[in-house]
Amino acid sequence: MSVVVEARSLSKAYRSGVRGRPIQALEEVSLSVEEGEIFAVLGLNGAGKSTFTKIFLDLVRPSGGEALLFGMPVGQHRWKGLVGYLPELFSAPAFATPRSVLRYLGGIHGLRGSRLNQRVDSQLETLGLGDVADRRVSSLSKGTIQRVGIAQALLHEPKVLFLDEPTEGLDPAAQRMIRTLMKALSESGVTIILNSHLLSEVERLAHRVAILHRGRLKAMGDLAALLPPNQDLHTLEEVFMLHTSLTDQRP
Amino acid sequence: MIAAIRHTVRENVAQPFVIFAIILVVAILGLSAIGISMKYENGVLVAVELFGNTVDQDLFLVAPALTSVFSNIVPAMLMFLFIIGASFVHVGMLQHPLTSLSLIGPLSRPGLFIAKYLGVWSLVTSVLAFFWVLLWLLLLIKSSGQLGGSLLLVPISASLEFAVLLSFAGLIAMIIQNSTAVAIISLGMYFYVGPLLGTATDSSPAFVKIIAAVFPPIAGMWAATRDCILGNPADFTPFLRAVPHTVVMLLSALIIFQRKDLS
Repeated sequence: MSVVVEARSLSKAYRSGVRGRPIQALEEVSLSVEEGEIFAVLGLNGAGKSTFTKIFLDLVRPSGGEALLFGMPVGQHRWKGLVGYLPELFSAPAFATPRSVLRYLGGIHGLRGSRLNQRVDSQLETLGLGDVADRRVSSLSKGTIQRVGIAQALLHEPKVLFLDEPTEGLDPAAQRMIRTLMKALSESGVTIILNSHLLSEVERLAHRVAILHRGRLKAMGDLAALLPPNQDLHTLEEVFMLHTSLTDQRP
Repeated sequence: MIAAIRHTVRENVAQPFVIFAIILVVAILGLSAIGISMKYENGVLVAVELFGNTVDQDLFLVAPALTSVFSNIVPAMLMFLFIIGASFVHVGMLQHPLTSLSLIGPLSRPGLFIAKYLGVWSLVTSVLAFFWVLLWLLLLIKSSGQLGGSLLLVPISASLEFAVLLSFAGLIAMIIQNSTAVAIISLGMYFYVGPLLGTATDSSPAFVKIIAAVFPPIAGMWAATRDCILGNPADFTPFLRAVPHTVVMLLSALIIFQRKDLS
């Protein structure tokens, strides 16, 4: 299996204002994700998960280290078109419809004519958006908008998916559908980087997990490695609490 | 890039600045169509009727008042609306969730920036062309072919003016990222600083001349548009002089955008 996503001592410091002290969002994070893996990045709010994702999408510039996609530095942009992204709190212009959002982003990804129509229709159907395809986004529920977000991320058949809270706002049936979809994508060789607060979802889906805390990588590995039998840790939640210094809050 | 330009046009066509501009031009065209009648004899204006009332005063007083409305107030009102609209475009781009999704596709940051620029510029140019071409037709019909001549140059001149202003607003947007502040600075530039710097002459102090050279020749461009409306010979050289300003402002904005972290 080839390495698809690789971080080498990746760091990012944000500066607030001209004289403001830099805020270290990521510090010397090194990890690699292989083809077809579902890799979950966990952490409290502000742990650096979104920054990590945005560096790989070249939306945020790292302060240090290297971010590689398919073995090439992210800044070279050779990965463009191979990556899908669902941002946290996906939203679209109020005037748009699910179909028009997909058509626009499909056009950006170079899909044209009948191929574009076919991909848009297929995604609308897969995500159960057929009935609302031509309704304004402003009239749709949060969960339906989230499904539009997932549809756009999959539209151009990416090889790597960065999903930020993909099941946020979805009802249990839709959550189950998305989990099944993610598993199927992973089996077909798509690499998925998953940011989620839903630890039960991560336990069910992820092949490996990384826990970030205050920008630092505190733990990484598959569930078996993170839950060693000789320690008093039985769930991912307990591991998460341990590494994010919240053990004192355990019941 | 074409998809991004089309999307920008669609995104902005329902924005308040475009709607207000369309209401304004439709009202002016409607009132002009219904309310103004002109009578010419041997190519000379002999009578004007405003809403059915023959103007009794000297035509030498009425004609300048009407031309002042069309040559100063209408273009200024339109430009006011367009500058406010332009101020929100690039700041909005920095904050819009679809921006990050557009950029993970094959579209580059400069491509997206230019698409926003061209999208808004083409939308404004369409509104300007719609208005001035219909006004030209209207005046041509009402004056039995005596008026209208150089009005067809107005959309060209006004859209070039807007192109310069849009690059200025784009640069300021990349620096301060606040639409209201961009609007205030751009309006100040167009309505105050530009005309003020336009008064600089060869005998002005050196520092005034240097400052005037740094800013685009807004007063000259404004004068060219006004001359086109009035049917006077227009001097288009200020637009040529504004090309380096526009290119430098756009390139600077692109460099800043290229280095920016996006949310």
